[in-house]
Amino acid sequence: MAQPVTSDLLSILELQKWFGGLMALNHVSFDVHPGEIVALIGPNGAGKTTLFNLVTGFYEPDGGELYFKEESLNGLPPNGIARKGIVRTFQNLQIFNNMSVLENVMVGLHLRGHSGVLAAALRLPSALREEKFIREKALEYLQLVGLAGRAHDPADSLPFGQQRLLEIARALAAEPTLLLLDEPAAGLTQSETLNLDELITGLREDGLTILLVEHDMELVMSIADRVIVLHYGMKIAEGTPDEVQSNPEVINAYLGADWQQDDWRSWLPKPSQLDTEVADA
Amino acid sequence: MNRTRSDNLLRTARFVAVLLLFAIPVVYLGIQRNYGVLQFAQLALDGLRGGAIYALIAMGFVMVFNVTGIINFAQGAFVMLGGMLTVTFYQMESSLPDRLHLIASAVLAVIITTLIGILIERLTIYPARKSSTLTLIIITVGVYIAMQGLGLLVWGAKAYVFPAFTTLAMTDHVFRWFGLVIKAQSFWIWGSMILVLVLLAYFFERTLLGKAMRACSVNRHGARLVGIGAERMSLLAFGMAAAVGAIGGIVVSPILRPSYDMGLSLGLKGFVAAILGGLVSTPGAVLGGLLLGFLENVAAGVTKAGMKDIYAFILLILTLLFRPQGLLGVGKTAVESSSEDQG
Amino acid sequence: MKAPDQNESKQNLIGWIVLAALVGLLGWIGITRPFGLEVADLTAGMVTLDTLIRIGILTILLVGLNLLMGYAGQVSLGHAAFYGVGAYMSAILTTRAGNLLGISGSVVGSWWWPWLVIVVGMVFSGSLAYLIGRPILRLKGHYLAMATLGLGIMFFILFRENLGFQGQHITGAFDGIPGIPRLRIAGFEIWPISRYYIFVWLLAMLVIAFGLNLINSRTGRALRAIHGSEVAARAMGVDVATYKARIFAISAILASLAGSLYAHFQASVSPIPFSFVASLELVVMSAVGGLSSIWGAPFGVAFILIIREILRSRLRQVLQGASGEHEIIFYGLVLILIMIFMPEGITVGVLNRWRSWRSREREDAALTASSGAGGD
Repeated sequence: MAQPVTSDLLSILELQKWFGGLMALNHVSFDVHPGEIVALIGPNGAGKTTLFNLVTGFYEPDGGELYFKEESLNGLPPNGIARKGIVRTFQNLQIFNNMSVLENVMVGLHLRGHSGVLAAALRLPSALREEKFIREKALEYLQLVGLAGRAHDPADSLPFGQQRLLEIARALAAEPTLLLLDEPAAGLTQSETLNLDELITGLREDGLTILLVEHDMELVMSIADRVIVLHYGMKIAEGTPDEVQSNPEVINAYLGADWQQDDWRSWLPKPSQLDTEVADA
Repeated sequence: MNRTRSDNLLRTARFVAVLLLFAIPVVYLGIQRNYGVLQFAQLALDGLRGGAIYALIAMGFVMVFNVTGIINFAQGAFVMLGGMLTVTFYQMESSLPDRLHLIASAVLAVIITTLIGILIERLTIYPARKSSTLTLIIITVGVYIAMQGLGLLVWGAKAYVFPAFTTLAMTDHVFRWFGLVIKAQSFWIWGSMILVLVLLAYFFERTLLGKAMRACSVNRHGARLVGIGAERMSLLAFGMAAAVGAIGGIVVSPILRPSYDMGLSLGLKGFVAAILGGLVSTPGAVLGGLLLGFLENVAAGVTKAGMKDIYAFILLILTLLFRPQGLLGVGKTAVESSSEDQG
Repeated sequence: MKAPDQNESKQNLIGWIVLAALVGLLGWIGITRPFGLEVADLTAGMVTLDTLIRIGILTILLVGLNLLMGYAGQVSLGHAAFYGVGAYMSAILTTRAGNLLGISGSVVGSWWWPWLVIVVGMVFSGSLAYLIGRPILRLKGHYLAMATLGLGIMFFILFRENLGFQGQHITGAFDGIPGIPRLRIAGFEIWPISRYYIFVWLLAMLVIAFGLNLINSRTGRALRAIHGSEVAARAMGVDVATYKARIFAISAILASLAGSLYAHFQASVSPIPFSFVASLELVVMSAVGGLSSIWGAPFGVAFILIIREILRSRLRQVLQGASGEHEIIFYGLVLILIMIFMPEGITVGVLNRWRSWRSREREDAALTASSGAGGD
């Protein structure tokens, strides 16, 4: 069985996932190195979100291994994976609508606190101090994404683009080593996407490793160090954005065998034209 | 991966082990009372009769759950209505010969209960169909207690008497085979259970409507895409569950004197049977019902009579702790909250 | 826009003032009976000091239940079980501990023994709830509802059948257990009823404060996150099953405390108040007050208890001595109507509608003002 290489932060080895008779992930392997921005692309249904769900513990793999900093992730539940330092955002936006913007980010800081029921009920000074700390830290993260002005508004009163930023702020508050972004640009306007671009590259400069799933090719080409392409649950290409862009198999996957277009990216739907996938409640 | 399969095997083994643990004190206590094989067999047989009733009620639970995802706590009310309505109609004056009178009363009771079931669905479930499952469950609880209260209002607290089907009198014909005592009503009960099971199997396998219902329970969105409306299926499920529950109430009435609160105990046990079977299929419901009836009666036979009801619930807790997917359920991962319904 | 936390503090302050005023005023009237006035006179004979104490006791239970139902999102259909455990444990161990467990009479008769028993009951209930809750709350769907249903009935049968043993020496079977002593602190007896009223309501208010503190804490936030999006809560590191189990345990502990208080109030226990219908009544109270509302708890309890009194007395007149619990028709209808039309409960529902009506009024006023001032 393959062993993880020590320079990798995240190692995905021969990962398999079945849904009934459908093989959603077919022996997929790749690595993510510290400080990288890796983009996971591929046509819809290729298995990208399934992979995210496997890495973050929402699904159990049917085969293969997952290593993070040389520790196996297999079998860990989502909250255990968060403890290890892997935090994610969601394709279909999972902010806490029943809380304020600030409180959303405060939940991100959950793992940094320790006070339990008794401390809370008795309003112990340690609990109060911790609350103050969490509140201040949460505000910092809101400032980072530019939402500090709306800290006390209900989370569902934010426009969509800002809700996406809120989710990122919340994820950052958990101080991850590896940040997983699931289609962060979906539904964003051009200017919002540019902001996102800056934000993500800024995060990389702060030492964060980022793995993202995206359809917005301009964004991917702009910020990704490496790109991994999935198609029908299999990895069909891996390399720098330029390498992947000119890979005939990738072109094939997106556009069909007979296409001869040079800049095939221009044929992909622009972000504003994409239907944002909203999950059924 | 093999890991999941062996995991599953281990869990089933654990469950069976727990059941066996249950069996040992029962056998021991039975021996203490000088129970021989015959007494155990008698207890088992009577238990299977009760189990058939639980099976009928459980089938109603499973149908509604599969199509709508709701645990219909009002199922017991249908049982009560079946029994009480039949009693009421049978007690009315009629020029029909007794046997026909009974059949007509039963048929009418089933029809009316089915209509009530449909009415309940439209009035209480349909308006709340967008609410959370928790809300819907609480609503069905509300429906049950409202129905029980209405039953109290209409029929009073009295326990009525109901003639046995075979003799049309209070005492039933009794078969004595191999030293065992079997009431004739038992055959009516088993017969009804088998009949309903066969009819439902035919319905779900061979008719378009039945297949549509199955489609709805397997994948509601997919079903909607091909034109199967979840709301209509929900209506159908409730109506059918009401009919099946009513039948259960009718065939058990000669044995258990019908009263306004008969649905409580029977409904709850039918529900335990459904969980035991796995909430996935009607055969599962039957299996769960029979097993529950058997275990419960044997255990009650060797211990104090007043404690009989407790065994169903002990079994419920044990099942939920050790094998929540029931006997025929898919796998623990299917019921474990893995949040597979996101993204 | 004002911070929601600031709005909340204002709400809480109002809540405290209203509650303290009501409790204080009614208590004062009930205890001192100024001008011969009784609480019952104010309420057309419906409410007495006795009723007010019962409301206080059940408030303690209901705060726990609301935390469970509103925040863990799970319904408990057998909460009377924990209520009964507390009551019976207090009853048995303060009257029969000598016969059953050989504990010396001087211990059983001492003033601190009943308090110890209360704590033991709470620990037992909490542990049982946690042990059963933890594996079941991992499961998808509403398995806890089913498990609590089973638990409720199991305990009721155990109480009724003397734990399965012949005779009546443990739980007193149908007759129950009489002669439960009053609570004392050293020489000071928490009786007559006026003293118990103050005692119960002090405790109730402490429990309300406990609930409010909990909601605004890290734990409360985690629970609200679970309520908002269980998936995201997990992804942020919240151990959902454990939190739900903890809340279940807390709700069981509070129910047990309430049960013990009930036992020392009633001075006797019997199985009837701990039946399935009793558990349902609790769910109805919770629904009326608001599943996730702490302030709704005393309101829900009061509403149902008072309605029950009215129904029982009126129905008895109408139905000419009919037996049985007819009020359950009402419970059923209330439950259905509230869950369909106002699932957030009456307190929160009415408050919301009032607020949106107020803001609409303000909008209308602003519109008429601007169009008037504009001049056309």
